[in-house]
Amino acid sequence: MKNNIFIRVMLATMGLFSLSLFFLVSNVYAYVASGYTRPSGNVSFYLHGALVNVGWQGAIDNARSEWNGAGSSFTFSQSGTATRSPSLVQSSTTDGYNDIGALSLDLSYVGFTSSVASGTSIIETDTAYNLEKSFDVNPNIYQYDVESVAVHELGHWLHLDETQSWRCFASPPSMCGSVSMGSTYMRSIESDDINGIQYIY
Amino acid sequence: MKKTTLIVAGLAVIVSLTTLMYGLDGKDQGGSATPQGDGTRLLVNALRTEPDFRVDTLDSSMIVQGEVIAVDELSDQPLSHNTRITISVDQLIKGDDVSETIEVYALGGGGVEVVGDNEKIGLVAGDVGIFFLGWMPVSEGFYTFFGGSRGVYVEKDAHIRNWGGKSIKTDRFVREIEKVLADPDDREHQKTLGEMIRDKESE
Repeated sequence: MKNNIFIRVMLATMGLFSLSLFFLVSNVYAYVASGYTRPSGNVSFYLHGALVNVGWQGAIDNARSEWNGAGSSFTFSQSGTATRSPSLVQSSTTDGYNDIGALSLDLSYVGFTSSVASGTSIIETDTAYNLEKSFDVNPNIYQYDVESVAVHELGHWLHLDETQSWRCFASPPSMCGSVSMGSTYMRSIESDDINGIQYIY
Repeated sequence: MKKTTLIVAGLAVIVSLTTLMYGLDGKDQGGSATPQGDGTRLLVNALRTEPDFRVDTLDSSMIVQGEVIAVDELSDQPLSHNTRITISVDQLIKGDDVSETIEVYALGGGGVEVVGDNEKIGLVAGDVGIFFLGWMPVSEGFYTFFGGSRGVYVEKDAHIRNWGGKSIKTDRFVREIEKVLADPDDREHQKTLGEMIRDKESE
């Protein structure tokens, strides 16, 4: 009996100690760099006109600024608007343009980014928002945040992959692999994202 | 003896955990998956909805119980879903497709590199389980695994594992799915992006 209690107390203590240690070391860099990079210090993209028409330009600008202010040698700029579909996502074909647009995807997708690499250099990237989901620049609990999704997807343009950070459960980085409705936390890149991007560029 | 073993094991766990965590704390440890070769390749990343059993059950187009009978890599499929998995359907849990087999297309394969473990399906012929399927409404449309790997529940010894790694008896899992489906979907409809764009165009 006494033995049992001792074992239980030991297990509980060790469990609590491990847990505390885990949470105490909060600045663990768990970003994942794919090993691919962009050849120049700037990438310029076109935003689909339909997304501008529904009022998304400001949110996309904010997402771009978020990464531009990350202290890396890489910047995003926007070339203008377009009416093309994001060809890499739609049909795996390059058209020479980096595009942010929208396509119909199954309901588990929020966004989708495809890049073409030659060797280790990224030569073109396209992103599609899912036309079948609900988005807003100020989302309610049934909508996805336009800016959060843009920050996450632009992280993929720089070739940060989904982070392995345990903090995806609390105060998460922008490169966590799934997003919940109504949340806007991905708008702000966190230390894990910044460390990742500064490592690549 | 038991106490000593327990204490040593506990300390080993703590030391391993600490080493692992501090080991990750550095730039050189951040990178992974260095590509090889000089050829052009397509890389895809998907941002998925948050895993939620009820939502996934309601939003999936079809849920089947069955056996994988073939896995083929193709090329140039829409949206880079280049891996075709043919499933022999034993039971239709949700949906109205009554075919004996169903073809499901998974992201990647055929020269497309999928980035992110959530997308790696890893099915082989002979795997049995429960499969949540989504409908991809492009070209002629096709089925895919809803949520990537989280739509795939491979059965072992009459049990499946959920996302948290918890083992559940397969028939109990089926009952849980049926319970969700029996409840009315009371979620408030929001305009989709597609509807917003159409509304704007018609103004």
